[in-house]
Amino acid sequence: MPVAGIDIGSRTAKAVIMEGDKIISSHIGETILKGPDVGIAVLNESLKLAGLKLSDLESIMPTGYGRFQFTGGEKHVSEISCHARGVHWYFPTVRTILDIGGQDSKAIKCDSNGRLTNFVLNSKCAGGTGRFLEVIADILEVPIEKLGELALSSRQNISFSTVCVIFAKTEAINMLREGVPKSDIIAGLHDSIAKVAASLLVQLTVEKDFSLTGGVAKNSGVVAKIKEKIGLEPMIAPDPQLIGAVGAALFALDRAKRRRTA
Amino acid sequence: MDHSLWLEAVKNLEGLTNHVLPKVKSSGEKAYYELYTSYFQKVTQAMVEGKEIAAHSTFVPPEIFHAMDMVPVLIVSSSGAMTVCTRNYKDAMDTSRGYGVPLETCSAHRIQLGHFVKDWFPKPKLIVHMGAGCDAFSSSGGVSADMYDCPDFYLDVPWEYSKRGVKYLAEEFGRLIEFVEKETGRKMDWDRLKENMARTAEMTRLYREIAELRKAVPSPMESRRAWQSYWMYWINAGTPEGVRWFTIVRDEVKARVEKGIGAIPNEKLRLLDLFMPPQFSFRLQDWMAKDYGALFVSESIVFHWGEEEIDPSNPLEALAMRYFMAPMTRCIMGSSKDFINDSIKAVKEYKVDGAVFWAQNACRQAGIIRSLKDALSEQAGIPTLVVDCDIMDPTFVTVEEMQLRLKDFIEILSERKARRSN
Amino acid sequence: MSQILKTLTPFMEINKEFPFASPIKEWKQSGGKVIGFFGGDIPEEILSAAGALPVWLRGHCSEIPLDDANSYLHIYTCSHMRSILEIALKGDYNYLDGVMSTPYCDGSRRMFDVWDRYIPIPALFFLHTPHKNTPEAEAYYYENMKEFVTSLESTFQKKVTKEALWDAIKTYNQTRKLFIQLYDLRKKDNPPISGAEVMEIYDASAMMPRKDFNILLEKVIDEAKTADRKLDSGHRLMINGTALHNPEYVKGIEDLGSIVVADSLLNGAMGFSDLISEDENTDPLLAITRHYLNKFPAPRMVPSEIRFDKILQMAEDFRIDGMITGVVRYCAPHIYDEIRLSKRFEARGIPSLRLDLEYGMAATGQIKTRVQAFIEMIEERKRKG
Repeated sequence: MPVAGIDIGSRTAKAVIMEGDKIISSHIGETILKGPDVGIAVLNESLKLAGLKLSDLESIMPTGYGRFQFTGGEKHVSEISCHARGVHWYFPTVRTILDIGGQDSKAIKCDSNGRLTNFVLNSKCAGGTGRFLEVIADILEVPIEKLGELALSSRQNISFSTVCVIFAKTEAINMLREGVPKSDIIAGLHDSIAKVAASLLVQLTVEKDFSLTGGVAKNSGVVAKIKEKIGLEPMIAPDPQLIGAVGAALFALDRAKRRRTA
Repeated sequence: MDHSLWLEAVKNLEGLTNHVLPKVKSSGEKAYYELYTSYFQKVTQAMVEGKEIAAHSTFVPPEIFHAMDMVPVLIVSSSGAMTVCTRNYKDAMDTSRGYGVPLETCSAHRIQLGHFVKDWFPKPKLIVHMGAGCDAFSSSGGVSADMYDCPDFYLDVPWEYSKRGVKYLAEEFGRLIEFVEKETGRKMDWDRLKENMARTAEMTRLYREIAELRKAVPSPMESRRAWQSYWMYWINAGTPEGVRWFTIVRDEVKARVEKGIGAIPNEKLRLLDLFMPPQFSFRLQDWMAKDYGALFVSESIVFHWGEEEIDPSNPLEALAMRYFMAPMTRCIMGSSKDFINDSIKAVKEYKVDGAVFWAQNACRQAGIIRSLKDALSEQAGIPTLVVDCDIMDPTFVTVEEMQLRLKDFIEILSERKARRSN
Repeated sequence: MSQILKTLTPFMEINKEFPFASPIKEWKQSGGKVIGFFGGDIPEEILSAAGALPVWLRGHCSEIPLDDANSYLHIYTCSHMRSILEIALKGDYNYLDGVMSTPYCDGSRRMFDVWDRYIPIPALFFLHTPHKNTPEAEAYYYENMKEFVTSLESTFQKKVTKEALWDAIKTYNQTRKLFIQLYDLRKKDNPPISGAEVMEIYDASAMMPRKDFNILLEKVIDEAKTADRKLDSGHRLMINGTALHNPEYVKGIEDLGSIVVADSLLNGAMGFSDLISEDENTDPLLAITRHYLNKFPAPRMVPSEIRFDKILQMAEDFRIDGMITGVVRYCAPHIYDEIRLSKRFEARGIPSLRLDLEYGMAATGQIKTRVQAFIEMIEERKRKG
């Protein structure tokens, strides 16, 4: 029977439906637009895509910031464990994961079974997260999905003196005023994000096979900077934003299996 | 052990010294480069020859180790110096972070721990640390001892000067000597310790004399020399080198005062330095002097000595008394009253136009800023600039950013001074 | 979860009235003096023997804006101290007749200075404490204690008698004995009381006369023993770090599938684990001096090994699955303590987690994520055996 994993993050919610060892459907929705029931909303969308009903699901596992509010699912699992599990499903050799989400970043270590062994989260501020990029994209009036592409055309290195999103915003506005090309500003910001990410990894031992997850992993500019800072090529899943939900779905499969054998 | 970083740093330091020496005119500046380099060379020599090294916190008296024929090396200052000489700030700080040291503590200690994680610091026979300065200072020695798995001694220091405190601290120095004797099988040479303390008393006398001479207008001493003096005092306490340093500086300063010339050609503003400036470079102070004629003429935490004398014939008590009278321990330890009152007094005695407090990232001494600022404004009539910075991390607040803040302040002070003289 | 312990209600009522709870008000109304203190290792016995009500100052159990305190203590002072100062600057600690502290940490020392300079208070007391328990340290400390007693006597024009000291020692020892009993109950497989509830008790203990508190605590122990209350143990955790007072913080941890069964907090095991000698043939002040030098040490004391061994022993006695250290930002003593302690836990195969906190906060989203992942890690370790 199919199961679902839902990752309700601060910026977006993602749902994945799996059966056996396959993903049948998935959906990503914005948290703000859909309100408090965003978990159910994205789940319904992905059920529709799969041609299924809620009652077809054997198990639903919520994770992410919204997991506490989600009712009608399994006893929830943290998104940290879900990321470890999800990445392991795609890349069994990976032991180090860097997840850059909307509101926070995490460095995660797992074992050969995809089980969490250690982790570090960034501190309270939004520096070095997806939120950081959104704020800047807004100021520069560049669609967020174009940021990566634009940055790659940057010709000079700009470094931001801060990773604080509030200060960086002012700095970016000043640079714009001084006529610094947008591509250079964006590249500088990508560098800041990569700096924060690398500083998280510093707190764990990085092993060669490492993976990048979260929406920011879709941004080629940040990926390039991280590669430069860490000196390793990250393995990136087809949709890195879905990894948490995939991990949650795998936990849902476990729970379902455990119930069946019990 | 990985000696490569230490050796590289000393090599760089020697290179710099050779490069600078022919260019500098000041005898004080020359002596600084020579003596500073020779301090690290001695440690290198001990490493090569396998001589026993005693690693110790600042304020732990090197006089004791010298009298027991060990080679002392400062923990936090030497790690910092090695990082400055090799510019491996990021590596050292990342390493300590990887070990679990959070960013919410002073970068000087983060760098120190980075050196110990990587085995860069010379392997000592023992580590002696101390409850002076601040909590980071009194806690990081224990972490270093853990990392090197070597015997350590914590020297307990009373919070404030008192007769009872002097007695207790003297007893603690006695305990320290017992510890070193037990760990190394060496014996304290008490005559030698007394000789060392006589030199310390002489260094202290010269230090105070320089402080007096600096009251002259124009100021006879460069800002950087004050900090150099402070470090020279602690790395060479009780040694002939220490006496030599203070004699050279005193002579140079005295000659200038007699001739009525200043350390800089066009002194315009006289500033009081309230706290420890970034230690990775003196570029800021040089720039202020050169571009604006703004000079630090006194430093609360490195030039304000207490009044009691040091009696070398009773070496343990002399060590305790020196600890309580020495500027930094006197300011940072104990109630903030001494710090504040000394600073107010300095404004008058040194004819100060304005004060600067360096608010070091994560430094909890910042709790004194408001009181100092209010007191200096209300009781001494001068404004205070607070500069956010980091003691060892040049990227936290850059020199350029600090310059912006200082530039505004210097302009305000200049206008204020012009208004007053009209 | 079983029903809440009824005997906890009086404590929770008092905590709701923070910072000027009714027992303090009543004490004042009957003409008694109140001395507030901050920092650690405060010999409350002496304050009590001097006829004063000792009140352990703290901040609100929520993250309030600290604008005033920031301007006096700068943000690099931990939010624990700044939270206390904020209340004082707002005038909500104006009921105090005196304030006392020790050179406990950078934060408490500088706050004492600020208090001295900016906050109108009838009397200030400062007790110098050493960091060691050598005979010389004891002699030094004992003399300081005597000086402190003299200053209390001259301020309040009242002699601190031996009888009063012995009486206070017995009263405070009674609290310690009761807490030891309470903690013994937490050693069970299914403890009858949660960590959050224990924190409620501690919070209230700071705001009421000790004899009254002992009576109420005894009732809690009786109920906990007989109510056949068994909390689902989940994973057994110990909490450590900067002194924290918000029970919601502990509850947040416990709601994620754990139970806090022990702690090494200043407002916890550090305060009650050891008794003061009650040998009336000796000098009570010396007994107090010895106690505060040799009790469960705070991070400031050396050699640190005494503290680490004590904590590791507790971890064994309470069969701990994991240790959570909450460190308020810039709390240097606990920052360095945690670095060394976590390595020792690791060596014993007990996982530990450091949480970077601000004082007063409950378990927020990020903290919950960290704690939950930590508990999942413990679970995995257990499964692997």
